[in-house]
Amino acid sequence: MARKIVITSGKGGVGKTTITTNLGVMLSNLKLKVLILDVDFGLNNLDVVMGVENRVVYDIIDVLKGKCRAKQALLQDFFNQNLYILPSVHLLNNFNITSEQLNFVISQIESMFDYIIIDCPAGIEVGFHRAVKCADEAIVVTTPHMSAIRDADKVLSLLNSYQLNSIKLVINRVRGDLICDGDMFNHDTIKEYLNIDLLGVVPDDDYINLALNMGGGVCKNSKAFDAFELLAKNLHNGERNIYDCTKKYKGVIGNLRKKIRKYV
Amino acid sequence: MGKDIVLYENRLKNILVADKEENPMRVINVLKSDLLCILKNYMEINGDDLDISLTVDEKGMFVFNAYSKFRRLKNLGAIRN
Repeated sequence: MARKIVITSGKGGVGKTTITTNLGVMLSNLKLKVLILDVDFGLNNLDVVMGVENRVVYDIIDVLKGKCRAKQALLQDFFNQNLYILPSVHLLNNFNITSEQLNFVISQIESMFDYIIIDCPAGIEVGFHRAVKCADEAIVVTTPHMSAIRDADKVLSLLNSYQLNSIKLVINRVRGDLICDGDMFNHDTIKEYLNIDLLGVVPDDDYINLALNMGGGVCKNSKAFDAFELLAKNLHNGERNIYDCTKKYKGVIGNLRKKIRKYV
Repeated sequence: MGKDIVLYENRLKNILVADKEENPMRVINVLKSDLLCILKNYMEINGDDLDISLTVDEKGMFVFNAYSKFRRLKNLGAIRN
């Protein structure tokens, strides 16, 4: 049976789709079969972020309408044979998808995978509940900003109403230089206030922006790659290795680097 | 800039505590009716005899208090299956 994990946040723009994509890529690098699924119907972008938008033949609505089998709708990633995407729909055309229908589609293919990662829509409306109902575990994504932490706290209250096996936190877009200067919350503070198990920290990295535009996961020689790799290992092996975003900004050279980032 | 992290943390704490304090009435009402159902097995008690409160302390932890006055405890044999 696949581990079904929903990636949620409450607030939009914190990096749910980025975390979903890169976690999927890293888990598949660990030789695990992974399916990533976007349930943000109408506003889905997972196909674009993965760079497969031109290869979509069937989508989830076609599966539900019986035009194809769920297996036929799956798209295999270019670079990683263990990674699959189930395309979502851009136009809903009054076709309301329920969590039962979504569960039905997942049940047809879940035996093929080790992980099913569900990208949840922003907000706490119908789409959020539909996504959470299909999952066994949840990962709450936040950034180290007050508004995102506040929304994450609200989402955590809602998630506690569901019988999930685990709820974990990922902090995205962390800037080590700002933490060193005391201008950004560090992960221990956020973890303490939200009172939740921390799965990992992802630094603010220009390579993520590049990957989003190019399609696919982040390139190997980047900070984000190392952070996502740790994240995947933490998730799969139950390890607790948190990426240290402040490492580069300590000492004399670190101070210099900090000043360059600040003023240049 | 730089040394305001304590200020930020206090602000975050206040926001999270204020959010938790919002609208606990629905939970309190449901909790009270559930508690009454259980307590009625053990004592003669009405809705007016039970006061419950749900507050949030400065660390963001919920504090639940229940206060009740009643005239009579039921005999153990009177407890329904």
